[in-house]
Amino acid sequence: MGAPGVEAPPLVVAGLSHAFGERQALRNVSFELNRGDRTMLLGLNGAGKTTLFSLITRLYNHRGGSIRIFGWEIKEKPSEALARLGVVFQLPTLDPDLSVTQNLSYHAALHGLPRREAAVRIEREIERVGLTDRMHEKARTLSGGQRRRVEIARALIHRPKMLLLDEPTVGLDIASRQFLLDHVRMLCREEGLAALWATHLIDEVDSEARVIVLHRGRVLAEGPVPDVVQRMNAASIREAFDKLTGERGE
Amino acid sequence: MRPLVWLVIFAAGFRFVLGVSIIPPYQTYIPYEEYIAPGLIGMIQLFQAMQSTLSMVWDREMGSMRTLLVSPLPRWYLLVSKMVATVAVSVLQAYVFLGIAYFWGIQPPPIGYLTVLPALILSGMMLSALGLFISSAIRQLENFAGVMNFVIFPMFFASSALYPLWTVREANQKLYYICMANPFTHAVELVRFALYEQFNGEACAIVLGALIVFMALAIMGYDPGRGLIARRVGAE
Repeated sequence: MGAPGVEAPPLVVAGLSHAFGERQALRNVSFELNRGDRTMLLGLNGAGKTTLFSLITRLYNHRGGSIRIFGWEIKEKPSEALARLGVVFQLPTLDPDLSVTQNLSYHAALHGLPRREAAVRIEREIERVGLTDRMHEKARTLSGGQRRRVEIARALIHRPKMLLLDEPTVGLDIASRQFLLDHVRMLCREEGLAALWATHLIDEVDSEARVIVLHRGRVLAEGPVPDVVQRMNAASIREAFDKLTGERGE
Repeated sequence: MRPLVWLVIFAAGFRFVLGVSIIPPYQTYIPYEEYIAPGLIGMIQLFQAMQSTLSMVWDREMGSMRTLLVSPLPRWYLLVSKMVATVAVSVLQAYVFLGIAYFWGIQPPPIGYLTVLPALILSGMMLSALGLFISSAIRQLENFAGVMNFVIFPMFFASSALYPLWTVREANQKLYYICMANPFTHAVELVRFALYEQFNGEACAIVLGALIVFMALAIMGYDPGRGLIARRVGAE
């Protein structure tokens, strides 16, 4: 398989199914993200969001279906695919004993960035998340919200055009949460990044975003939020979500 | 340093208890301290390998392993890098031990310090590969202590580290076979002979074989296709 075409979409998931033994976690999940798409993956806990992310980030291999990042199938060309992906995990993954800069340098080294180039990018990303004055402090001394900001800065060091965020605002205060939402919105709008943001909080889904409703491993709806709301004859995304997931029966 | 404590106290106590007949690679009767030196080196390497295992389980629990797994670096490269780092540290520690042991009368021929290096590297790699495999199989940090008790101590005691195998054979045939089946025994013998400028081909072959098997198991354990990692990540 040669290099994919120039215009390959950032993320294409097709026919993805996954089971843990008897339990079917994902059923025939298919969706696509294009450049600049800010897509909220909305689902209750247990809907399959984390499984989906684990498969997209190749924590383990998917068995049925395909996952392509900018055209690179993750099972066949994991290095190419992962090099184009930035991830903010749900768990904190910073080394608490390293400074902010050191944490970011480590990430840069993993992506093969030369030191000088890395230093320039690190400074820029830290500035963008407003933590320049904490650059040299150990990650341990930062608050939860600040650590999340560092993680988002880290995810962007290697200039990916596709960002995955797995419930990034869990446990954060309102200001930090708003910062993250605004920051990602800006990245998508101004830099054309595609972002897939997993959440179970409906109020994080605004009308300018796209939404994928995941319920019990199935995609129940996909598209711009206003379209989904209208399709379900609902007044709000919350109502649309309730209708979608309620219809399936509990 | 634990092995040094062993060397001094243990050996002093046992010196008059055991009679050590002349066995290769030694050419004369040797004091007990000299006999257990390679075994203690083995212990150093074993502990170092298990310590690095612990750090990997810790990283997985703490989430910092994810940054590695999501990077474009292939899995095997990450494992080999970890192994190289572990071996480098354990070889250094072994030499420090030998340096200090010199003043306690453990004085192998000077070239021995050089010829022992490949043996240290090979045995270090084998133990490190074992550690990597164990780290992929352990589910939680709490289980680690149990695994260590079932791995480190049996490996060490059921080997030729503390007593020559002919004494074991005389005492208990079954235990002798267990010792012979234990790759740690052969790692110790490899180091022992190398320290005295001799090459123990049989030990080398067994250690190499064990290294390949453990490495294969470790790569399988961390292979994203096999799903061992899937079972370790908390569901949802």
